[in-house]
Amino acid sequence: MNKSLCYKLLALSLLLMFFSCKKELKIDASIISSFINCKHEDKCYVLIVPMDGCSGCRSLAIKYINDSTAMKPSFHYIASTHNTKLAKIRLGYAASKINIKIDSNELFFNKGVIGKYPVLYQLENGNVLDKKVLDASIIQEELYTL
Amino acid sequence: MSCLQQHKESDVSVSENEESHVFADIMTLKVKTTKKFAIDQSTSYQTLFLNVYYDNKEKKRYLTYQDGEGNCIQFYGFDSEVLERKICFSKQGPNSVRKLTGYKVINFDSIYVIDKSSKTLALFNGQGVKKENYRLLLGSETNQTSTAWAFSPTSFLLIENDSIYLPAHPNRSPYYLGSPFVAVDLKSGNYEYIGKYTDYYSDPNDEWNENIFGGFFSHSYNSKTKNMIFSFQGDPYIYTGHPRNPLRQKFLARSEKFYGAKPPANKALSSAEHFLSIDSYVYILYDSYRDLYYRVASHSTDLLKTDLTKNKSEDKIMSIIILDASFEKVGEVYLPPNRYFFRTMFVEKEGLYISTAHYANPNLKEDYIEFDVFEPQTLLNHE
Repeated sequence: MNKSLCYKLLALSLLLMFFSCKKELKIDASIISSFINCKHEDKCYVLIVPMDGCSGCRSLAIKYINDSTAMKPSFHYIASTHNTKLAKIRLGYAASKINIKIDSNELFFNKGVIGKYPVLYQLENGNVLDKKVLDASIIQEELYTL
Repeated sequence: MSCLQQHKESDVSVSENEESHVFADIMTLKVKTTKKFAIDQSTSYQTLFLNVYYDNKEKKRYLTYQDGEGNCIQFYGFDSEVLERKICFSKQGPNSVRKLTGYKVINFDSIYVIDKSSKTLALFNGQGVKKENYRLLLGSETNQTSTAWAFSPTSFLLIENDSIYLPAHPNRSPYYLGSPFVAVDLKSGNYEYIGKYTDYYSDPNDEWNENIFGGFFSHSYNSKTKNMIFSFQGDPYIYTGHPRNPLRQKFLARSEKFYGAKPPANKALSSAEHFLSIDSYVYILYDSYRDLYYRVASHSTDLLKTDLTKNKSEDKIMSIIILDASFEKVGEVYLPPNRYFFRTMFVEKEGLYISTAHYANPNLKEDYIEFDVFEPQTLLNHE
C-alpha cells in the first residue's frame, strides 16, 4: 500500500470517528434535554451519577453535590437508578435541591450514555461541548477544579 | 501446612450420578404464600445481607436485615413483621464499622461483623461496642489482597473449634490459584488462607480474564452430616467437605440447559456484561426441614433487550435445581422474569423465601421487604 493511500485512509477514519462522536454527543444532549432545559443558559454543567455503580465515585459525587449545588446555578445533577427510594436515602439533604433530578427509568444507562462511573457534561446552548467520565482516579480533581 | 495443600485431585471421589444429565422432574416449587415486613423511609427494600436469627432466651424468630445506608442491623419480628430492635455502628472511632458488609448474630450480645472497608472482622456486643477485632488480609501474597466476602444464607459462616471460616475471593488473576477461604483463630487472631478452587477453571483452552465472575462461589451447611456444600460459579459439580478440604466429594448438579460456565469470546466485555453473557451457578442453599438442596442457575442472555435498551444482571433468567439428600437431581424450576431479586433468599420451615424486589416488578412496594415463599412439591405423576 502506498503512502498517499495510507494518509487518505487515516484521514477518512479520523473523519468517521469525528462524525460518530458528534452523533453520540447529540444523542446525549437529547436525553439530557428530557430532564433539564439548558438552552437558556450560555453554559451549563450536568453531572450524571449512577447510583448503582462505583460506590467510592458515587460517594464523592454526592459529597460534591451537597457541597456546591446551592452556590452554582448553572450546575445540574441527575441521579440514575431504578431504586428511587435508595437514591433519596443516599442523596440525603441533596435530594431536596431543585437542580437534582432522578432518572428512575435509567434512561442514561439503557441508552449506553453512562456505565458505572459518573459522567460530567459541559453544554453550551443545549449542545454538548465536553464529556468526561469520572472514574475513581480523577473524580475529585475534576469536580473541585471546575 | 493446611490439609488441603497435601490433598491430591485423585482423592476426590466422584458420585455415581456423574454421567446422568437426562432428567425427569420429580419435584417442583410452588408459591405457597407471601411474607412482608414493613420498613421505614430510610431503609431500602433491597439488601445483600439478611438472615434469620432464633433467640433461645426469648424463644422468638427474627428476620435480621442489613441497612447499609444507616450502617445498622435491624431485627424484624418474624411473626409481627415489624422492626423491633436495631444495632447501629458508628463510622468513626474505636467502635467504628466503616462499611458494614455482612454479619452473623450469635445472640443479642455477640455479633460478628465484617467491615470490608477496613478489612476487619469484629465481635460486637448489643450496644455496638467492639469486644474483639481481627485484622485480616495483610501482606502481599496473591491471596492476601483478596476480598473477604460476607456472610449470608448463601454464604454460610462456620464457627468451629475456636476458628471462624470466612469466604475470601482472590481478586488477582488467575484467581483459581488462590484459596477460597480464610480461617481466623479466634483466640490468637492469627489467620491462614485455606482450601482450593476446583480444577474446572484451569482448562488451558479457557482464557478467563480478570472480569470473570467464576471466582465467586456459594456455600451452605448441612448440620446433620456436618458437611459444607460448595457451589463454584462455573463448575457443573457441587462439592462437599470442609473449608480446609472443600473438594472431598463431588456431585453433578447441572442445569438441563447448560453444563458449566465458559469464558465469553469477547474479552473486552465489562464485568456486568460478562455476567450477562455466561451461564453460571450462583447460589446453593440447604433445606434442613426437607433434606433438599437448591442450586440457583443463571442463564446467559443478550446484552440488549428487544427495544435495544441494556439488560441488567437482574434480567437474567434463573432456574432452581432441586437436589435430594443424596444430591440426585429431582427437578429444575424456571422462575418468571421481572419478579425476583435472587441475591436475597433463605430457607425456613415454611419453605424457600425469595425476595420479590426485582427492579421491574410492577407490584414492588418501597415500604416493604417482600418475599414469595416456595414449597417443594412432588409432581402428581410421581406420587
